[in-house]
Amino acid sequence: MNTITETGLLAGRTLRRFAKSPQLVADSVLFPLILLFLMLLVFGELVDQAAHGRYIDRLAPVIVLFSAAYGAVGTGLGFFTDLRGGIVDRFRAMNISRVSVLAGRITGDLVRAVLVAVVTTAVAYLAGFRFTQGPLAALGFFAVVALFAWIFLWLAVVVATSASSEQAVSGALNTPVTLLLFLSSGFVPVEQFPGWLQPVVRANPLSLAGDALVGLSSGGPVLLPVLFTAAWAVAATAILVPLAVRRFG
Amino acid sequence: MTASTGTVPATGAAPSSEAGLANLFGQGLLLAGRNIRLTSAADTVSTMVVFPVIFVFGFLALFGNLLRTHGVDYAQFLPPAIVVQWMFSVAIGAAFAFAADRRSGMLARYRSLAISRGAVVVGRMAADSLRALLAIAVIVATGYVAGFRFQAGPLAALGFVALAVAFALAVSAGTSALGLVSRDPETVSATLHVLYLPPLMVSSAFVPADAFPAWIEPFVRHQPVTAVLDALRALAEGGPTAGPVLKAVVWLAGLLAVFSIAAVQAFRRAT
Repeated sequence: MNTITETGLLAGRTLRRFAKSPQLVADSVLFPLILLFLMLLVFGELVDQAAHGRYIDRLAPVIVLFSAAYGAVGTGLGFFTDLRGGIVDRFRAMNISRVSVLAGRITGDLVRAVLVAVVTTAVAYLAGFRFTQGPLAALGFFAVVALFAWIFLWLAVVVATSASSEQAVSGALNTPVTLLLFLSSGFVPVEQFPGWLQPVVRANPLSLAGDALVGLSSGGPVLLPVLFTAAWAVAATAILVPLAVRRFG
Repeated sequence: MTASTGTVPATGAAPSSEAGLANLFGQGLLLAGRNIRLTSAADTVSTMVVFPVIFVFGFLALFGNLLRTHGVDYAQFLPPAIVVQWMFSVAIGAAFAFAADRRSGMLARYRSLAISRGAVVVGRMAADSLRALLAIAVIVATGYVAGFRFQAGPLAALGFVALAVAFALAVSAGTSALGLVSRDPETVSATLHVLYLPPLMVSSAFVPADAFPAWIEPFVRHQPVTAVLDALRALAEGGPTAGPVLKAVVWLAGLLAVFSIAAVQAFRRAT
């Protein structure tokens, strides 16, 4: 078997394990959706009055990104369980390449992140979210989601290989994801933040990828936010991938 | 646990260690000590200190300016909401602890001991109250830094703390019923962490009721979480307090009655 076939098989395992856990599915799909409707209900009128444009156009992309980042917690926990449960040791004893084990985990969860994004977007459609920039832009929308998820998946793998307990895995991933969500331009426009926080909010990958998604769905600048998101992904790849490979190998 | 406790052991233990208020509270405090020692310091610091601070400043940074344009002093408005949010968190912790005790067999073991059954409940409530007080202290202190003030005197401030703790205990009764039915603390806690969000967010916690869409505004105004929040804010800011506090107390009494029945039934079945 070559590496690509192995990766495909292991990615299938990752996806099946996700699909067979009702709690995991509910957690990664329902929670972002509940957040979407609650935020819309609580802050919709206020933001609509204060900002130009509809809140849902901005909120839906950010919830999609949040579910991608939040899903990485599941990746970290799943990979940690694999490492501790002995299945990874068993893979190592088999005649398959080590790269496939990592690549299978990342590929499977990347597919999952995009599928969850499709579901979330479909529900957001009911709340008034629309793609107005054509089918190619819609494809680009999900490509950016995958690019964004890529960053957090590798972070999750690195955390899983270095953590000592399940609580440590979810703590180490939940805290930065919550902070990024708060300090992003997703829930309120950048201009509403105190002046000293605005640079942080603007540089936040969630804000940048959010700008890109808004551009690709309801219109606005696309090129620059996409490039910045890609820059984050490249930086994360340069730092996290070697780290993950070294810790795992 | 039949009535044949007539033979007094040679060690000289009291003939009955199950009945009486002294046993209830003495043993209850003993179990409260166990419950408190069982939660790790690191976990308590992160959930009861670090996260409340992040939430106060996070929400202020996020929505402070937005609500100022709506005419709301958010530094004064927000801390009661974070207090209520953390009272939910205390209640979820109670459910987690009961489910864990049931799974590990600790609740079954209590039954085999000659101790008052009520002491298990008293022990849980005392430990929860302590966690609630810690969270309230942290949030009020953080709020103070941001500009929150008790403007109605020390008595009203005490009323604020008492009402918040009472809310935590009332909700704990409901969550404990769920925790006692289950043997899976992780699932109970994960479920409750999603369930508590709608009643908290669709209340006057983070924005005033009039900022909601018109169709849901009546619900927002009259649901129990809003009643408690209105009373907490009245106790903090001054002005007419009797009305809001009475409304909150009535709601809490009602919830407590319903939740206690469920909790007692679950407790009977679990122990």
